[in-house]
Amino acid sequence: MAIPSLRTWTRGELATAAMLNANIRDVPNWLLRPPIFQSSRLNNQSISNASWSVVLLEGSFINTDGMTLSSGVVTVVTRGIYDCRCQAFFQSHGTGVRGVSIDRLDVDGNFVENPVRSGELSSTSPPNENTNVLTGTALSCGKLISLNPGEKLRMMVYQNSGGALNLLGDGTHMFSWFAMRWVAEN
Amino acid sequence: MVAVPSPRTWASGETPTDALLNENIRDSYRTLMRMPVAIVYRSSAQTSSNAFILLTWTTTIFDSDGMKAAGTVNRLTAVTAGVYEVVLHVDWKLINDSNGGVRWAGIMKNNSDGTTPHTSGEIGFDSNIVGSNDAVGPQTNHVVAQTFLSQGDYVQGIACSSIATDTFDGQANRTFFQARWLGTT
Repeated sequence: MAIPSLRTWTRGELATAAMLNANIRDVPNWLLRPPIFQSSRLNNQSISNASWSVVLLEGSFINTDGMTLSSGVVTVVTRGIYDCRCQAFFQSHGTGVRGVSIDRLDVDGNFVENPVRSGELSSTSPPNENTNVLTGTALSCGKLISLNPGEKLRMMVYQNSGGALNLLGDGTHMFSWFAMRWVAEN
Repeated sequence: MVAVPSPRTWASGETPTDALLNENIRDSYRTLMRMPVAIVYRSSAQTSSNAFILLTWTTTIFDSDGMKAAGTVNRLTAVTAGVYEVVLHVDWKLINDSNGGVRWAGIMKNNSDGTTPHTSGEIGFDSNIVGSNDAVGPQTNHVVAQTFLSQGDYVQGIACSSIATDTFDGQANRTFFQARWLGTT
């Protein structure tokens, strides 16, 4: 559904059914069901030491606007300001730092900018956690990003533990995820 | 429960009566301006000593849809189905310790009061090394999750400090739990 474009009514014009549908019905329908997308890295993904890696998201759990996902890259359908967020879950390891970020790409898939990132020291596993998962560090970032149709986002992660380290998944649940939702016109 | 509007498709030749205008214009916009939002906090501390605790909430700042149901001190429950943004923020009591330890917090969905992290109900998690610290700098966890909640689904917050400390530092509402309806699917 396209963003409603509201007409300026003029004196004496007949408010037809088509006008009412386009200018009255479609507005709340749009606001009630804006573009929302959410995906996750469900399974372990090995992350190389000391370089940023694309998170290979798997499937879309929420997708109200037909956004496409390919090799971790999400393509926008509708222009707007989007609230974009992600969370990364790293395997337990006591060395180094961990990072997570969101990259913006142009319509051809070329890198444009990295508008938001966060990082912290690796931390130990919390007590009594699920021993099938055993995370060490969980971190997140988010920002409002202005996007046009065809532009793309991808979630990136970084670690420098000294060797490859897993972004954790158990095959089912959303421990590392990426989410975005339309909040306003741009 | 909020009645999510379903605006009519107008037909050629029909008369837009006052009832139709009220139902399809007035009510739609009224609803959109008051979609479900809930913000709660706890008026006193809870203590964690290297074990996860289920956070409980005593005070409601705002609750437009009855998500903080009577008797459910640890839950926000969806009354209206939809996609929600859920935020848990824990403002830990400051401790002046050369080894401040780690703080963890998580958001759990339909997890039956369980406090084991990284199990199936978890939808958001944060870890934060305090390290060497003083008695002024804030020590916090901030967790944001986006999830679909059917009517009756609920979310809860869990938290843990590796060194015994409280979830409260001077101002109660700085440790809070909130949920906001974003849209339908």
